[in-house]
Amino acid sequence: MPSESWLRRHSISYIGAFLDTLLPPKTVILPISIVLLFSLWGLAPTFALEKYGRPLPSMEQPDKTDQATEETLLGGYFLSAVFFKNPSFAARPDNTGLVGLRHMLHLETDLYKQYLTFYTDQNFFSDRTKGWIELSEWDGTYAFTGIVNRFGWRVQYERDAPLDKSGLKQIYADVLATARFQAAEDVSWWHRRFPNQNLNAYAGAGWLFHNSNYFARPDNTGRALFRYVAHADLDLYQNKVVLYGDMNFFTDREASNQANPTEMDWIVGLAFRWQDFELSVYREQDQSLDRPGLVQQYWALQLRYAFDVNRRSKH
Amino acid sequence: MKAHTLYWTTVTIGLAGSVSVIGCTASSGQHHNLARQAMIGATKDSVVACAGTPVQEIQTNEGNVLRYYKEAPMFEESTVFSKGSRPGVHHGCWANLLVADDRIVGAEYRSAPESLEDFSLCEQIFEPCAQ
Repeated sequence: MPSESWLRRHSISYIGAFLDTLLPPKTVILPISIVLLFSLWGLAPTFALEKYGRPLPSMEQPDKTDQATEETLLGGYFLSAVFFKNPSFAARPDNTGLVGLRHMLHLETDLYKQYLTFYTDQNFFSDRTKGWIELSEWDGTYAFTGIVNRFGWRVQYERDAPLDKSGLKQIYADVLATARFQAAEDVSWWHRRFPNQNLNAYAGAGWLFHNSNYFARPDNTGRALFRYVAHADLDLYQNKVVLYGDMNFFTDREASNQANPTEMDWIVGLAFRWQDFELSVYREQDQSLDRPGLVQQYWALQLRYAFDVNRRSKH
Repeated sequence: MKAHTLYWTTVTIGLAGSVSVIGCTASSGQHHNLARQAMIGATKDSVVACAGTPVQEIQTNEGNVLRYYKEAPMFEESTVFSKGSRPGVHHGCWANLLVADDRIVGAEYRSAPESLEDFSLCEQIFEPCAQ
């Protein structure tokens, strides 16, 4: 008859071994938990209407067209950034050169309210080892996106190509689903304690269903299959000072465990906004997770100018 | 069972569970409404003076309704990431004010899209009126 302590010790061992076979590696648990957490928030009931004083007549019918017109957005932004400290962030898809400057144009328009939006990013980099000015890489992104309740979706095609010489092109198409959290609206005590601050965040997962040389690590090895993303904006003061962070994990379709992240990219930045301008300083680091390898990182100072048209009024 | 797997499992499940509970219990329909309260009883002219000209003014049997709309800044609706951008949420807020006898007697905020429950933009329209 085995003793109680023997049974307890061995039971725990067997349970532990069983769980070890069921549970994914630790690197997967965190992103999955984040997505699960945000999904649970997405299921919470929402209150789309607030009333005060005498009840108002219904505004639904008489001006549906005008309302849709007002909510339709055609806008974008232009940005320029200087990578003032860049020991290793490459200036071409084949990992040659070092980025000096970045210029990007973002355009987007609603095709059907918030449910279907098209956007494109035209992103250009220069090589600081070749005089800073001449462009060395052109990344074009074309995407459809939309939201349903608190869930967002995106279908995107991206093509990263060298500009100053022929060479490797990295191309993929992916789908991405995210769930969103907004502290000021989702947590009742937030606004009482932090009247001038807010926390917006989203997390999700995506699948690169088409991949032509889009790698799974910063050292250009493997082929990306899945991505896990998480983003947070902490509004420090009335949306004029914003601390933000972003994480992106890739998995390798050639790895034994295709769900296990092989690359982690993260950004932390501080943005100052004034009317249609935003000045931000941020740091990005891209690193392998499953093996030692190239770490691409930089510090940048960025100026962004936002614009929009087709809005009849701005308050 | 490996110690680090147990640690990460405990941490992440605990985090997800506890924050989910907070989210479910704390989420409610209570919101800030200081600016809106300040407007009830104000004259139409004073509201137009501080909040600007409404997008629309509609005549109804109950009185005139002033309609305001504010879209979120583009910086909130698209974030820059590594070699491109990430889509945010296109959203705004409709604020309808009921006017009777030249005074504001009712207010209604409606988020757009309605599923987002974000009324802060409406509050921003009328913040100058609360000062």
